[in-house]
Amino acid sequence: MTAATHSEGKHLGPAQYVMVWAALMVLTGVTLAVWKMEFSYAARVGIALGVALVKSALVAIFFMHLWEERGVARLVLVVSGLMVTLLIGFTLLDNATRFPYANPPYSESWKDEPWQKDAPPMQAEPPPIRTAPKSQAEHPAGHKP
Amino acid sequence: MSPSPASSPAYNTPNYLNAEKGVRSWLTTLDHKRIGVMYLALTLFGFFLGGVFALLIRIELLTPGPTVMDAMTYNRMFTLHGVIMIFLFMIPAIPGIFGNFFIPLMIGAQDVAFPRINLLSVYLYLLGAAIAVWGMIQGGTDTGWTFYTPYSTTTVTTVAPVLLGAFILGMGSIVTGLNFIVTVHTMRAPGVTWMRLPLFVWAMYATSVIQVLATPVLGMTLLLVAFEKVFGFGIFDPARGGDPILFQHLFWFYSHPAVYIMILPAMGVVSEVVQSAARKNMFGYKAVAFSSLGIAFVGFFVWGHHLFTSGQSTFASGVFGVLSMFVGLFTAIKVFNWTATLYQGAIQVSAPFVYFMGFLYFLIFGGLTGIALSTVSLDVHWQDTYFVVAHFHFIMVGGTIMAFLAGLHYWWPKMFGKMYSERWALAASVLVMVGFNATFIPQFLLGNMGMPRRYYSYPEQFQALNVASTAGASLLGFGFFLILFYLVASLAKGRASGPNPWFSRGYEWNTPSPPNLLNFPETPVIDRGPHEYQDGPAAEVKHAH
Amino acid sequence: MHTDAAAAPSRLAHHFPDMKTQEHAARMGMWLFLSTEILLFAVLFTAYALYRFLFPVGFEEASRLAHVAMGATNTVVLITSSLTVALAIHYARLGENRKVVGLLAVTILFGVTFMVLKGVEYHHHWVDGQLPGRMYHFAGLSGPGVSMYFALYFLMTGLHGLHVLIGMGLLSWVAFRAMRGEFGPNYSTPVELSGLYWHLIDLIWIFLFPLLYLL
Repeated sequence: MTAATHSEGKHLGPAQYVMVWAALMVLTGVTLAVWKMEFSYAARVGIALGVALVKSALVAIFFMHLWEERGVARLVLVVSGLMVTLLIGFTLLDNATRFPYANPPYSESWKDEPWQKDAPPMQAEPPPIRTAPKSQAEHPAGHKP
Repeated sequence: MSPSPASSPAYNTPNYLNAEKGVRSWLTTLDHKRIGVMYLALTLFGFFLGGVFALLIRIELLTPGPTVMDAMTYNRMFTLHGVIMIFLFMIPAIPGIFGNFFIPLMIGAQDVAFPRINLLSVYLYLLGAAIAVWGMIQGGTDTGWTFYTPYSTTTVTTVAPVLLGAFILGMGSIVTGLNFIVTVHTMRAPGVTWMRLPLFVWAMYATSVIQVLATPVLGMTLLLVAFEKVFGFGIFDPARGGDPILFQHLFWFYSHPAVYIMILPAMGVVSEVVQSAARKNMFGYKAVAFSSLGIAFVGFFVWGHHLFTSGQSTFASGVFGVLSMFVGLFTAIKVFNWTATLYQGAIQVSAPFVYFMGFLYFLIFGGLTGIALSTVSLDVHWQDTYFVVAHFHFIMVGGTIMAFLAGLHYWWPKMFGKMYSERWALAASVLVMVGFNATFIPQFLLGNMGMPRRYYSYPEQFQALNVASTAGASLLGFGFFLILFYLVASLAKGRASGPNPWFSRGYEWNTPSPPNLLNFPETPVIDRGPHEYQDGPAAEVKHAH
Repeated sequence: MHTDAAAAPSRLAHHFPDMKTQEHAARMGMWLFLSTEILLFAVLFTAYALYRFLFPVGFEEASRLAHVAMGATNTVVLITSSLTVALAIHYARLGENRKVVGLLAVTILFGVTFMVLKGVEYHHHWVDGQLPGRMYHFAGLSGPGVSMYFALYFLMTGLHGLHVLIGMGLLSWVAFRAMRGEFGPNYSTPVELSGLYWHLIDLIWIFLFPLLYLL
């Protein structure tokens, strides 16, 4: 009797795992590079999510052994993904097509409506912090470390 | 059919009830049958509590003004009624009792795949129920079982413990569903192919898929409300940019499929009962089996029909309204197949069959009003009136509880080896059906006249119908007590049922009644479909009697 | 059935015909459990998608306050820890328990690193008043949707962090069993299942990092 339920020969070895890891690292680099390059909003969202999907597929197929699993495990993952899409999709469908004032105050869907002019302004002073945490001296007054 | 006949010497071993003695052996049991019996006791207690609150609500509504309680107490009462009935009875009852007890027997397995996790689900149920009921006694949640924001995040009553309790109950539900899916996939005896699975198992499988996929969403949503209430995160608070309707989306993403968690097992139960009572194979086995999966699938696409008047976009409402009607399609497939199964059957009129007929009537009536409600323009008129209340009680009480009672009577001899009194059972079934109609038909009328739900007072012209409804509820309550009484009496005084009092050919009846501690002395090999009455219905009955 | 039972007398539960079925059931159960985890996070992803859609400017401005260097480091740490877990499973199947212990120890160290960095980030946000909902009091940035970003930031990373802690607990238990040399060609299910759990944590972080830090 053997414990392995998967067919022999489909097993991956350490070399393949390291290759998958390297691919994941490269893709992480791609995400960061795209972020630095300041593309348009849609392009950044699209690329970041696309790369994340590819990365998660790599993890699922190779690290999580979907490669060698029988059908059910694959089905479970695909169905869960569909459910997530369904939940996000229908919820957004509602908010995107709503009567504008039924969305939260001063949200994007109020953009072209007269009341939007009452919106509290977006204030970003001092300039936004980009990478490393600030030192204590730069803290706004009144916020002690 | 090759498993040993129930009378063979191999079966002369202790049954599951008397194999081990003492409270401890019950509390630590890993046996799926004992866990099913524990669920029976627990969920019936939940049903009793919920029923008491229902009667209190009806007593309050006897007169237009305050009758026995003030508005706040009334709000707490209908919340208690809803939370207890939904989370402590409707969702866990049929899967917990009949699912646990019969799925392994029906697929020729010795137990469910994960017996320890199965026991864990009982304790999760107990813990969740304890926390929720404690929270309701301490703070007296008054939000209704739906916990709609922003009311639930701003009410002065305590909500967080009930939310936590419901979260834990949800975990128990997930665990049960997960266990059943794996059991059906991996533990079928040789010969039990997918196309030979009893229809109850198919229905439970579809239910389990919903439980696994939908329940986590409810759990996380309830935790978000608790966070919002305690820490003010603002996720559902418009003052901080939150959208309260998002809560309704997330809540109904679970709670609409949860309606099918309640009704699909019921459909599975009656599929077994109708075949045994008519002594015929299911007409259209595949159609009934796959329509269970169809309902589970479509059930995920329709949750927005609870939001028609809440501020949801009209476009989304239209989409959800049309999609909702597909549920009617799959349900109709089942109804037609059940009635076609009765055609030319040799019908034994017994309590399970009477409850099956009741189920059919309530399901059709409730289902058709559901189609009416999913029509957006009509729903705007009926939203939050007693019409909706009557509609879902027709499905939940009329549908699920009739099927539950059908299953309880049908499988009572199998579970305990005792026969209940058929005469008392028929009398009680008449009481229950009449009481049920008298309770909820007036509510349809009240709702259509515009009486809103969840108010403790109403204009005087509504009183006559409200009195009728309260009278019906009393009758219903009396009927349930009668059932409890003769079932308990049968445990003490009932005559032994023999292994198969219905002469049913369902797989589960191949064991003695009550079954042994070890389900099968050796792995059974199945060589026929479930309920195969090959000789034709008439010959079967002649042979049987 | 009896020959199988003889081959692995202690591990086979009475209600399974053989080890193969039992392990198949265990793996299927784990996958279904992972599916519930995914749906648990789906609620937060839905809230994120909705509020990002409603407040694109507020989210963009607020996400500039995230500490990208630490987030990126954590991404590398988690992905590498996934590699070590995958290798641990590989060696568990070969029965090389000492390698398994070593790789799992490294994984747990990566987990500790992740949590420490996360703690430092939390500390900075706390000090700056960049907190969810009504607790938000950062003077440097205000506007519609800003406090919502931090509500979701803390909920998503908090729930994820909780899973990292649970995963570390699971891996420690498995490492302990590997120390006793329990795993081999006939039995490696616990390593595989807790490994699956750890990979799922990685998988969720792969989405959280760009959504919360970069976009």
